[in-house]
Amino acid sequence: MLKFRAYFDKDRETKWLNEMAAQGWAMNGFLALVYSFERCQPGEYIYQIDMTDSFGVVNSDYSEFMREAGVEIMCTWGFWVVLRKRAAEGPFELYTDVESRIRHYSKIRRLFKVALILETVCLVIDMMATVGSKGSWLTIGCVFLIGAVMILMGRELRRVSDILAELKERIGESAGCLRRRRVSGFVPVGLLFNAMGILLHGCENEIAGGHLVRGVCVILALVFLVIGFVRTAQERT
Amino acid sequence: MEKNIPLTESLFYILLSVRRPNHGYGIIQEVDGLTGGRVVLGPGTLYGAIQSMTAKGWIRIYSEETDSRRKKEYIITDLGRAVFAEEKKRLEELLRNAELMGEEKRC
Repeated sequence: MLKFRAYFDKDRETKWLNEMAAQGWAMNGFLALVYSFERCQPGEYIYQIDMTDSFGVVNSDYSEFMREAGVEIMCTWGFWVVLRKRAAEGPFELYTDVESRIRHYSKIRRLFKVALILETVCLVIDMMATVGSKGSWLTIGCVFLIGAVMILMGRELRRVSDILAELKERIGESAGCLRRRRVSGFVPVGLLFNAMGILLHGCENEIAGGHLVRGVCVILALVFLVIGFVRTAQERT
Repeated sequence: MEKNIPLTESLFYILLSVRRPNHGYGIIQEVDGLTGGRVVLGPGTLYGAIQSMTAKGWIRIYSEETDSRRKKEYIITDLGRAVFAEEKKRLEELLRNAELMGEEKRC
């Protein structure tokens, strides 16, 4: 059986895999955004998702270590590896103390930060193509897509940062080390103006004052985005 | 010792468990036994701890069995023993001073 899901939140993804297992479907493979499942006893397996240090490969130490602990490596995708263990052998938690959970979430946070920067670069390139009247349906689609992905990544980044802040407070490593950077609300607004500017590109001739409206949209988009980035970068807790 | 930060419970018990050569799952079981089930190390926690302690030189690989089932075992190093001894001193100091709490009631 195949299912299509797009998860940014790894904890929610883990929860979903375990819910499927509780219903008798064990995940046994993953490609792009498609999960494959096979039949199993309800609740036979417990799933966890871990993050590796290198892209696409799991080093032999790790796989041997997991095998010894009775953990099965189902598949890897990028930096993620899906693990499972038989529920009959007892509870299965990867990280059992605060310090290692902090390390784990810090790795995730760093990954999302890098990904977000790369996405921003893509967006800027795409917007330059758009504003430079090379706008087409392709660039429209890309703006929406990149914008949406960025917002989702930003939300996950914020969620992970909040978890880290709470964990660090628990072990007394608090104020001063907390750097919770929130993506300014100006950014998605700017993205929306950009999208509007693009949509008008096609029909600016039919609408009265279409050129003016489109120009305003593009200017507002750039203004909001610049303000948004500056505010996001400046924010300190 | 340049670093005087206290050991976490997990690191304390892992160091203790490799006083004799021990492998991954054996460490988890020993810590479980020593703490009466209070501290059960997850594989992610243990793997990360072993990596970092090996990098710091507190433990090292003892052997890699060359028979069909390769089982990597770890053992504490002299540096690891020194770190552990420091921690033991710190804990003894804590316990000693903890006795003071009992004095308050007799006023």
